[in-house]
Amino acid sequence: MPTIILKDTTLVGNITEKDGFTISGIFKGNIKAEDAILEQESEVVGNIAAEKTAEISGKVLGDVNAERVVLKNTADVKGKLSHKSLIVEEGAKIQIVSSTTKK
Amino acid sequence: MFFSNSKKNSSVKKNNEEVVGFSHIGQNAKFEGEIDSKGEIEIAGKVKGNINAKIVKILETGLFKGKIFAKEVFFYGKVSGNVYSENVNVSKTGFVRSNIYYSGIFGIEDGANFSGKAVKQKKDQIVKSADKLGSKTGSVDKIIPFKVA
Repeated sequence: MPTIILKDTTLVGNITEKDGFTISGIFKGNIKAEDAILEQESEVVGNIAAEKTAEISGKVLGDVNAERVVLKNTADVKGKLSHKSLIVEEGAKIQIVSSTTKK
Repeated sequence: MFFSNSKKNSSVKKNNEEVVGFSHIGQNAKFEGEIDSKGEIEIAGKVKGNINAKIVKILETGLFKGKIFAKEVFFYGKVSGNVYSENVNVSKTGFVRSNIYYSGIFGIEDGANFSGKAVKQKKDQIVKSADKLGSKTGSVDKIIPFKVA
């Protein structure tokens, strides 16, 4: 079962997950996972490294490194992005430096 | 500012809605640090650090090192470190190397591997000892999440 953090939970520290990582709570630290899903109410301060997809609908202050980065319309992201493909939905709040890596 | 509205929003939401379900740390996950939850947390992976929650479950695949402050604790996996909780349950698959300070019920199932002290205390004493050891919340009843700076 992948990791799921609900919004009543706060984590401070670093996590390494080989499966998916879903959060709607608060996380302070670095996240490393296969897929990282940051729900609308989530707040992450720290770097995110996802092997496949990083889907962000919440707030992120930190760098995001993933094959595919999806910023949903409720996303609020500040940091450096590194990806093979980037999707930004209309309405997303961004303050990013983005770079595409080779396919 | 970046997080300026977050505190207001989250506090309003937290008061109105109650979270259904529980948080889960997966079997393949490794986490080091503090966990603070108003509800239930289940651990199936490796966790090092302190937990503060209403209900804590360390599952069979779980490995936990650190202190636990909770109301209700269930051990099915490996645990070491002090435990401060109202009720503590050790299942037959549990492997526990902890001192347990409890105020309600302490149960060990037949076959459980347990080594450590089990001390029954008054509820406020448990809170005090939790305070001494530097629990972030200082209270078993009141669980306040960390502030994100």
